Amino acid sequence: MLGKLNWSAIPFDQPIPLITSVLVIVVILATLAWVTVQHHWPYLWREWITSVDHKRIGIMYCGLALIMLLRGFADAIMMRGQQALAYHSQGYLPPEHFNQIFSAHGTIMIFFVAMTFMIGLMNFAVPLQLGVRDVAFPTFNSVSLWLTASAVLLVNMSLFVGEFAKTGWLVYPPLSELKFSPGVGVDYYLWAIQISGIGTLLTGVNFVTTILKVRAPGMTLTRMPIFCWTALAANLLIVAAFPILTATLGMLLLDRYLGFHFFTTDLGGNAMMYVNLIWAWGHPEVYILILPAFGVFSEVISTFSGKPLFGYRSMIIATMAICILSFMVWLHHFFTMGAGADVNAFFGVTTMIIAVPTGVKIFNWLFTMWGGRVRFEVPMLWSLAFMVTFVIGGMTGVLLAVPPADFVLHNSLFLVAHFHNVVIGGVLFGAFAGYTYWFPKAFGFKLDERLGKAAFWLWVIGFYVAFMPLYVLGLAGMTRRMQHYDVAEWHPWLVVAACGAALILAGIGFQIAQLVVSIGNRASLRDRTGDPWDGRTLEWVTSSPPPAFNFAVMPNVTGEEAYWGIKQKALEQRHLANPPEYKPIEMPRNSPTGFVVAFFAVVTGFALIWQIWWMVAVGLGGAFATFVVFAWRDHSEYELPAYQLAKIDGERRQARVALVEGRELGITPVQYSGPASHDPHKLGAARAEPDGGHKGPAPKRIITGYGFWIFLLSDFIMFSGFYAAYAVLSHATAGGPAPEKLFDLKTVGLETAFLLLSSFACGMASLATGARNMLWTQLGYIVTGALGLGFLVLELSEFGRMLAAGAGPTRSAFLSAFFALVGLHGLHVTIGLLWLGTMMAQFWAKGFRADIIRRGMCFALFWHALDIIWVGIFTNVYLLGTSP
Amino acid sequence: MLDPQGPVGASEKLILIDSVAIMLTIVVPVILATIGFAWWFRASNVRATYLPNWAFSGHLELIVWAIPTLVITFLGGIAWFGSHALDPYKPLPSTTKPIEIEVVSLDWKWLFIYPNDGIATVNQLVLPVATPVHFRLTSSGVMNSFFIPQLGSQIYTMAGMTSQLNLQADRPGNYLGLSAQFSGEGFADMHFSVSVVPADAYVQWLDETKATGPTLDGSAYAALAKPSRAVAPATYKAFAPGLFDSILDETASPAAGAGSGGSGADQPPKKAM
Repeated sequence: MLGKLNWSAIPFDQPIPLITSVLVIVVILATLAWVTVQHHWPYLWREWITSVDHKRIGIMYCGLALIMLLRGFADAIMMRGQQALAYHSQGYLPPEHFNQIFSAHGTIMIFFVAMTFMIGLMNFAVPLQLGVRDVAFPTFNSVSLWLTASAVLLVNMSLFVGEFAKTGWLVYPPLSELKFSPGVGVDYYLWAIQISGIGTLLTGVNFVTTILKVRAPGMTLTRMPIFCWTALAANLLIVAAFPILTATLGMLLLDRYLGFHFFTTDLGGNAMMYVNLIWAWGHPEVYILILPAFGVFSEVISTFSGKPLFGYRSMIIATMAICILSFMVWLHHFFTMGAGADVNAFFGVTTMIIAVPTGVKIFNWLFTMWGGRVRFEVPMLWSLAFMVTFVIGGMTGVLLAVPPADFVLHNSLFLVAHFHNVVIGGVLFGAFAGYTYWFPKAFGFKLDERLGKAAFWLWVIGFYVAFMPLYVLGLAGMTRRMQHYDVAEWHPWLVVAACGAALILAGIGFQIAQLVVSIGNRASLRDRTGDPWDGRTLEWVTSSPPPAFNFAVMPNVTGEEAYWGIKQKALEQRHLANPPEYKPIEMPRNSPTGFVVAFFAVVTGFALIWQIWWMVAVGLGGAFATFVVFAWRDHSEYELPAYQLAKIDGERRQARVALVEGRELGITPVQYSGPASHDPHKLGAARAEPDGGHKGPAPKRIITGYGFWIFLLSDFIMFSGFYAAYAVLSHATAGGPAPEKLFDLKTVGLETAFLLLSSFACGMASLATGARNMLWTQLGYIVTGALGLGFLVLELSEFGRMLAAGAGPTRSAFLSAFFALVGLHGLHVTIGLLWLGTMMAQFWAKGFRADIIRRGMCFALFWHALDIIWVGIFTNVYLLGTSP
Repeated sequence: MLDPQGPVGASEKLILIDSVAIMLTIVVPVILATIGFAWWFRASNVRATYLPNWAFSGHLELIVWAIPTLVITFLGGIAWFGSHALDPYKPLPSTTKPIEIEVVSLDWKWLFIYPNDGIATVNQLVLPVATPVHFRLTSSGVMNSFFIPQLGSQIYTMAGMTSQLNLQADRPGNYLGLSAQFSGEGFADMHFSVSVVPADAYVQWLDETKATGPTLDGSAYAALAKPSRAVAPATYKAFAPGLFDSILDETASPAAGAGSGGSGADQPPKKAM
């Protein structure tokens, strides 16, 4: 009934996790009780939980990241304490607990602090900077958020029910295989990351589509604020890299749950393939984190220097160069595998090449300050600390990229110091800069500056005290993840590092105080104009906090730094532009879809971890039903009438009069030379039209199709991951059957014919939809479905024949890879059929409604893509496998 | 590793210091410039010129791209030649014939087999001074990394695969050896002592070891392979013939072909993808 779950899962014998979890549960219950007593539920439900507003979602992402920062930091300070004590002693944490802590620390800090915070900032700022009202797919955005929250819940649940992984944050096999890690810890990790991975992928699809297809009129790509460029690069990386993670962890799950042999130590499994695959995701992941932070610093340094960003185009080139190069360096994470001098040297050099565009960025920030009027407000302080700290981290990173140096520094505390140097000094400082910078925009009041500066200094000094000793320790030969040690010369440095952690703790204390005090003093910290920092990009043109629709009228962009131009003109003329003509706008309606789906995701994840199969069925069924209900709704948007817009916007304009008339402190006109002032001759002449040829957001049909294409691209990459595994393992037959004896080309040929014909039928249905002919649409879909079903039946009978012959996936690594690859395609066909059935019913019930037609278009793309993938499998697996 | 005791470690230390020195020539000025620029151009400094529209300079862009490119070209050269010169698989130049040692990482201890001398040790490595050592390494299960910081390079031990490493100690002494790849519960105790002794003392040690202690036969190995923590150093006067290869075969797939990574003997592990 309850799978592997029983009372022994609760850590009654371990006081630390037990007391912590009980405390956390009490706090959560108290909060829920307070919310209930105060009758805040309707407000929370209406304004936050079901909100599809990108600003609210961004704020919730950042809040989640901040809470998880506390959890991750609690782990960190426990580790520092343990290592400071564990000289010639066991310290206070036994290995099984210590190992969970460092695994959880890494997982939480990367996935649920760094990435969650960056996604939060992108959510909040990107649509505002692009001058639009929301992202391309607002409801999916909410799904992304809540799926991330589900994963957070699962990871934290492991504290109280069961255990977390004891294998390090990347769960390298064979250690993470069932044989060496029989507990549920690795399963908690895997399912949590898979669930949050879906959310992250949706975010990637959403933001790539938003940035490429949903921009204000005149906002050409080369007029976008640099933060949007870095967000674009980061989301392209998400779309390209996360499917690899999903595929890799999927293989490990198959190993653990169904006895496959991808990475096992027997029957042909290859653990080093995991290490390669995970870093093929893992290195781009580093840039998913740091690129948006670079964007934040660019905005902050430019704003607080009172100057445009130096070398804007150079920055774009550098960003995109990093984006591409990040896929060509993964092997530097394991030079010590012994891959040979040429391979190591190649990856060492490619890694170093990344330092070039990164160095360019640093220089460009320096020259942004040159000739500026630098204001040392808190966001700028974080940026300056970042520049100083990051070049040190960059230097040690390049050092680790020199293979012979890595041979002695690999996995040492030098490495630990390096990546904290870039992740804290880069990503986290960027997150804090962005938090302080956009806080007044999000909430309408600034954060207390004095407390912010105190927190800043404690953090920066604490960082250096905590991590510089780790460099020394690494050079002294201390390796990472040591629960105890007997080397006397290491001990004093570890004590110093623990003091550094205490300083950071004080810094966090001041940050909490800053938030509390600022909320208390919000009246005096109020930002009335919407432009508290003398900003340059479009988010500062609207009020703080912005209305749900962001801009009553979409801004017309005529050059780089859209808002700066508008502002300087208004300041010179001491006159606000005349009120525009307001037109009614359509806004996406709130939806509980994200929250409900996330609830079922938690149920499914928990059930899978504990192998409670009936509950898995409930969870998956619930999630599917939720999407059907969402797809069924009749009204996905509501209309805001023009008079209401005029009223709300009128208030904003009132507040801005003070700014324009020069009565606002710190905002003065400068000699402004018009948009695109920096030498258009050398950089390609601007187009003649002021809007640069960009007429504003694309129509919905284009946006949907574009987004779906990007999703399909990531799906292709996931298949490529499984195909790569198949290519590597195709000869690892472990004495079992080889492809030529196994495949029955006749059946497979028939399957292929079925699928190709079904695609043809699907095309007919699309044509019939175009002609609004219901009968032929339905007929086309019925034939599509029947042929698809036929394909599945044939495929399953093939699988059955192989299983009966003892050639199941547990027989050898080759068969594991084969069943996984072909089975994944079969799973896609199954999902396609479920989708098809739902859609047919919708067409029947609702007729040719625009959103259903768009869904039909996506389905057709999906179905044809399955064809293409199948043709790839048919030729590469079946035909090549059986050819002599 | 800042106090290297062999040629590999010494070269790696040199590369490390050279690389840092090259990078410091750019890192230190950047740090100073960051602080200097920010301070000089502070808003309250009336003597600083304000150039509110200055955001592009072709010459500066050229320099800005050129400086890191030059530095990286230089460092790239070091990385390229260093990788080849210090390839762990490359035999060390020496007139002395290298001694062979087979290394197996077990949960959670190290097994060292001296195939030419017929002895084996656990968590204890004895090496003659100024003699190159050629290691062949594998793992009985979980991955580890074999590392003697003061002698230089480390290398992974991987089940079903062999890796190789060449090291040499130039001065007698006792050094720490450890696993640098986390391998589970007993990881922190997975260290071993490395005694580097003069040649005659080494021969004497071999003779003494051959004369005493148990034999590492099949059942003794099975007992040893069971997970155990903080294992005291031990020696075996003999071991089952072909022990290393049988451990390798146990984990390697019997019919593993090219690309499976399980091909075993004396090949660098196949790279996946």
